[in-house]
Amino acid sequence: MIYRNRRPSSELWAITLGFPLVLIILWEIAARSHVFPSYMVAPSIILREALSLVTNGKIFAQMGASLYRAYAGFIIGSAVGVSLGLLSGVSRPVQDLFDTVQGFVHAIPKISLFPAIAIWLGFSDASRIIIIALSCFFPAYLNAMNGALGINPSYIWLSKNNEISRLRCFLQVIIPASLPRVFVGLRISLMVAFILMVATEVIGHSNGLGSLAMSSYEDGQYAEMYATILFIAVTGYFSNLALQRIASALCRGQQLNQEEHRK
Amino acid sequence: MNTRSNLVKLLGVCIFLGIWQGFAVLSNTRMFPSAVTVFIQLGYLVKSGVLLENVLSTLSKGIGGLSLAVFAGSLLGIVCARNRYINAALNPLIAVLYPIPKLALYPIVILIFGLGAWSKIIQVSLECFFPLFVQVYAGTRAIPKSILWLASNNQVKGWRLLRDVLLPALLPSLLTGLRIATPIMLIVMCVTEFIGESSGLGYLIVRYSSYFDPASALAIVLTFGLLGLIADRLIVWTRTKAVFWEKQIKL
Amino acid sequence: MIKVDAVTKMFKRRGHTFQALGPVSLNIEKGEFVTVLGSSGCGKSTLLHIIGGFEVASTGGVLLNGQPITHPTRKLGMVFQEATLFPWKTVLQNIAWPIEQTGKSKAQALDEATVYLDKVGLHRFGGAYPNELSGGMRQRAALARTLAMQPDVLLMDEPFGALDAQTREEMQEELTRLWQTSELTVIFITHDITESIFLGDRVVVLGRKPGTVMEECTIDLPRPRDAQTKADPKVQSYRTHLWELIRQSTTI
Repeated sequence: MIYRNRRPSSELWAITLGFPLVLIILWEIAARSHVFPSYMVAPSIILREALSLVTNGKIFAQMGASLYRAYAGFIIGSAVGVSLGLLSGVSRPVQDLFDTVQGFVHAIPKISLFPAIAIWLGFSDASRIIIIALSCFFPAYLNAMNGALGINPSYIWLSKNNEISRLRCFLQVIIPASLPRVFVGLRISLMVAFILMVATEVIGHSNGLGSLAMSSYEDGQYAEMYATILFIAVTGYFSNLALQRIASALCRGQQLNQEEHRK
Repeated sequence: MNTRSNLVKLLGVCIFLGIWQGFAVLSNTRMFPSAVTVFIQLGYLVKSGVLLENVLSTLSKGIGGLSLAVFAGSLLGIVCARNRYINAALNPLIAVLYPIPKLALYPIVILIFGLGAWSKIIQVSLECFFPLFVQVYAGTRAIPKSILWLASNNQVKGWRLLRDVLLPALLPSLLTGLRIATPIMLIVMCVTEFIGESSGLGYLIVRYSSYFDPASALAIVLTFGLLGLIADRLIVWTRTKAVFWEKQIKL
Repeated sequence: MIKVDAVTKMFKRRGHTFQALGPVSLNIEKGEFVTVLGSSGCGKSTLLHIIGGFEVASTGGVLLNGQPITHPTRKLGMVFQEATLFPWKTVLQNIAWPIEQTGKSKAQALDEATVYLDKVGLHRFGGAYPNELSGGMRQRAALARTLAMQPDVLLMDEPFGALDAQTREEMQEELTRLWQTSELTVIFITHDITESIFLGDRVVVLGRKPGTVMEECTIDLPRPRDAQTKADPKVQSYRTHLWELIRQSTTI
């Protein structure tokens, strides 16, 4: 039987909270009783390690370095992506101009360019931010473009009826109407930024959370490795949450689609 | 109108190639190879058989991982959509894990499965699981109740229900999920092959880059792109054939 | 006031052209309420779009006070089938928007907008967002917004089509009441026979394939009209007559 949109009853909440709790407890027990090999560290130890990383401040430098790259790449990539996307949505020639090249570069896993760019720029912030920005461009571009293309044609007729200029129409009608879809693209871009942040940091030694995780692994410091991964997850989660808040604030009165095609 | 559109597209490509060529000429050509050099290298790689060998290596692991993801994603997607208790247990967990870069978990995967092919296959299935789950779950929830009632009215349950009713109804969602998951598969294969591997396209990129041969590295990058495009078109074509009852193709 | 002069509209579909509309010739006097009645596919929406300047006729043209209509202007205000309010603005902000476009400040526009808000009976809902309103209320808001453009002509494209029967009747009475105290000329498209009789001074019946004027039927019911008018026996005889015309147009 399929249950549609029923408010979760208390018993379901119990399962939702209880199930992961049970898993964590089982993990804890298994780790303590040395059933698992040494790299399966107990959750309690991971949390302790995470806490010590915070108290001795070691984690903040790494977090700062990583987040700087992720956010810089995200902002550059999505700013360019959204602007060009909206323009492509309203102007067919612009869309055509970018269409073939964009389609092809989109199909390339941007991370594959990283070693080649590193020949040129080294394994530095610059090369990482370029890769991140390039990857963030596409979801932002595609969703912004489809947002502009998909707006209710009646809005355009309404604008013509009121004899407003094309610029005004773009600023006052098309941009607000496309905003929900733009934010869908931005949320995907942010996720992509974090993935590429990690991906670019596990190669070519440097600093940052990804590098720390990799070097902890290489040194056999498994607790530190898990703790670092936890920090990566947490920063990703809260960044996403922040973006969601901004999105709801800016898109008052409109539906924020969750089930958009994720491309 | 149509030809004008195509001309502008062609113009776009030409401008891009022009800028690339300009960059290559202005900067140190060895660091920044021209488009021509890259294509020459690509040709050489194809002729020498190096490309094919590594494409097969990468794809075999990638498709292996993808199949696992399809199986797990579909299974759990259908189960969660039809049983609200299992859904309450698993769905929130999956939703929380989705935005986390699973690549951060790769060291753990290596610890469990070693540095060889299996860690890559598992990593691919781990990352591709999520979009497939989401699509199959949504697709199953979207099946009109009337169809399910029709099935139980005719005493159709279990395996037959799955085969005759659920799977055909889910085919579009499954293919959409596959269309999203395939580029993820390529990305994951690329990155995992950067780290400690002796075959595959990712490995080649790292090797050529270490030889300061950006032209060959870019040739492999192009190959990745081509693979992605071909896979995408293949899936779209499959959809038109497999989901023949849907005239309007809206992926 | 409005002269529709032998307007036709051709469409291209998969290679061959077919004539969707015309030739249609009409004269509409200032202050008239004309309803255009026709079954689906007869091109009545297309005719309205051409009159408004949103679409271009293939042959023939439309004149407003002697001037040809070539593009949309504020003089002919369009009311769409779906309310088409901006979901990101409140009702009052939506109504104020056309006023802003004439160069007035935001504050001034909001001020003036309240007049129209009250006219359509939504004075308690100015601060609500469109997605919080019912279908009927949204159409009222859309009407207020179009009135805020201060047009000479209202072009209404089956605005009550998506509403339930009761709301539709309420809106018809509401619209008549509003129009009767204004100087607006209205061209109203519908496929609902009773609606066309109740609202119109004159019903223009459009046939199909291609859409041409089958008949112009003057409605001789007393003004002002209200809910009681629907009980008038003449309504029934008009209805039978128009029904017959429509039935003819649908049998090919």
